[in-house]
Amino acid sequence: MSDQIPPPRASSAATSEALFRAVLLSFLLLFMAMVFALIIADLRYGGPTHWVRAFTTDREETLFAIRLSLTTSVVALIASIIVGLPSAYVLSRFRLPFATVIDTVIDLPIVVPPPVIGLSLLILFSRSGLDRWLEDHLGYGLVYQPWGIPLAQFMVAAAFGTRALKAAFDSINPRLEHVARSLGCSAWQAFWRVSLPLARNGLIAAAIMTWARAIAEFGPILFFSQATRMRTEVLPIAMFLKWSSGDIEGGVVLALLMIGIAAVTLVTFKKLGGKGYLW
Amino acid sequence: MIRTVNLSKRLGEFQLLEASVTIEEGEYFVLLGPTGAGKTIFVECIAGIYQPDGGSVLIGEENVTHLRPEERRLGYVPQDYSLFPHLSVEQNIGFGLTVRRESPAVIAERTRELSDLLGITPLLRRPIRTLSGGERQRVALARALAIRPRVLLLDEPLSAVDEQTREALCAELRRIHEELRTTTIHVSHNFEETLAVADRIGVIRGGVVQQIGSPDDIFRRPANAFVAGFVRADNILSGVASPTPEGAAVGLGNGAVVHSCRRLSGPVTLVVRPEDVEVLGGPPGPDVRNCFAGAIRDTLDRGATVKLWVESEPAWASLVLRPRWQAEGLRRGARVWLRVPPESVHLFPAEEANGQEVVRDGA
Repeated sequence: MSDQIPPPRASSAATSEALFRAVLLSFLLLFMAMVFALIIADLRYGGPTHWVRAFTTDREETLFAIRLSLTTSVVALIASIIVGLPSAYVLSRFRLPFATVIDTVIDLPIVVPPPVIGLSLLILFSRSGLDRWLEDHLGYGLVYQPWGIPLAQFMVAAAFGTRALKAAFDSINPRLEHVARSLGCSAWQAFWRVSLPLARNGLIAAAIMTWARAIAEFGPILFFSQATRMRTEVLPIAMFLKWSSGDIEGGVVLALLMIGIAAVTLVTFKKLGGKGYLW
Repeated sequence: MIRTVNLSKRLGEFQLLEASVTIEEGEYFVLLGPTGAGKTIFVECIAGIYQPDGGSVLIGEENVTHLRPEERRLGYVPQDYSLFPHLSVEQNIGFGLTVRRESPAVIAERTRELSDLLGITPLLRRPIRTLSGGERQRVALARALAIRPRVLLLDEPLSAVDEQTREALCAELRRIHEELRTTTIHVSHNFEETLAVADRIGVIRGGVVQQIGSPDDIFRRPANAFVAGFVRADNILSGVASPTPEGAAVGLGNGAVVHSCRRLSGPVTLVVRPEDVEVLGGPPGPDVRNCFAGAIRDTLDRGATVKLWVESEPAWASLVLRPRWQAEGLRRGARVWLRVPPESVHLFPAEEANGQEVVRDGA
């Protein structure tokens, strides 16, 4: 044996491996290109003049849509958390009978086409007399009214929220709660002192995603609250109204606004360590 | 004192079957068994994490079977230690006292006491994620001890640390036990670790307690072939015993006879620890019993000791110290004489297939 290290043998599999990687990667790049194409098309179409118009001539309407979108989506978010947090904990921790059935019911609003939820809400409230009852007793009905919007958003967002919150609780080892219990915590205390603080980032990420879902809702609102200018005009409805009156450029400005919101939301979600999947 | 009576629980593929164990006040009890034997379920049922399917848990004279974990005041250290990652070391140790609304002065005092005892005072301000395995174990121990538990439950406390740390921590566990005298139940799959810490040992397999006794009982007088194998008594043979004035002569069926001091007759299992099989310097005298000649078939160098398998009739495994192995050239193929002292030959009645009898305290 000489001390000299022989030159490395040439690999015959290198070309095949490079090809393998290149082919697979090209599909990924193709899909990314399609997404970018959409955004670039929007950017080219809605020039600066339309942006200016959206915040001068149409200022009142644009701001109304932004305001209504923000308020309704926040109400829907709060409701989703109030219902979703305990539900998620139950799904994550309790051994439930009929777990598959429960899972399916929770997931249904995610999978069902959103307009179906809107139509179903409409039927539920208008046909059962529930809306009439609300109007008689509280003075406010929900059907075709702006205050119906958070409900329409909630029906979809809560399902997303529950899934995302469950993922947050799933990532916390239940044994930590067992130890907390052995150290003297009641079930409530173990939840507040251990599970909740540990799930914090996951919970915030889930909340952001839920909010993004709520603010993006269109189909259910269209059916349940209708598209009425300056009344039930959240951002997606505003875009729809612009488009249907032939003002496509004005619609594109709103579209870009919503793409921006979605992008910021996603980045925040990932920064906070939210899971890469939503349900 | 803590006592389980016919404690049973099935949890997926794991189970515990009518485990009845009594642990005396201040005793260090180790439940020893292979993975999946039901050890963790045993601890978790005692801790109150799971309600048993049947049976009872008694602490002193109090039946705690239906109490919630927080009502039992037991110190629980799970296998992964489960330290609270959002709290500092100090806050982890004080957690139980904080929950119990002890005054800050009491919490600080107890934390200092325990961190001194466990040598973790320099770590108090550290976040959990910066701790090593051994440090985590000490913190988890301090956290469990802070509530002055009636019983300390340790679930595989040393399985996550390396060999060297394990040895040191064994000594540490023993020292802390001697200092505090907290009744302790320690679950382990490692019999060396068990020997190092236990006052008394229970061996469990498939959810069934196989034997309970002193380390010497388990080690030298295993109750059945499973226990014998698990504590690595390598020589396990079957035969038929007939009484002799000194005890019994066990015929192994091929003409070979092994003498034992035990008085037993009928079909038996014979167990001899490898370190009890002596390698003689030369041929034995004429009337020395239990001597066997043969060639060394295999050797296994284990550092301090070397294990030899000798092809005598019957074949024996023997353990010799390394210096002697080197000095006498006990290599493969060498012919040797072995002596098996009759007092080291343990006998128990041959088991029927799966017939498992629980033997308590050397009875």
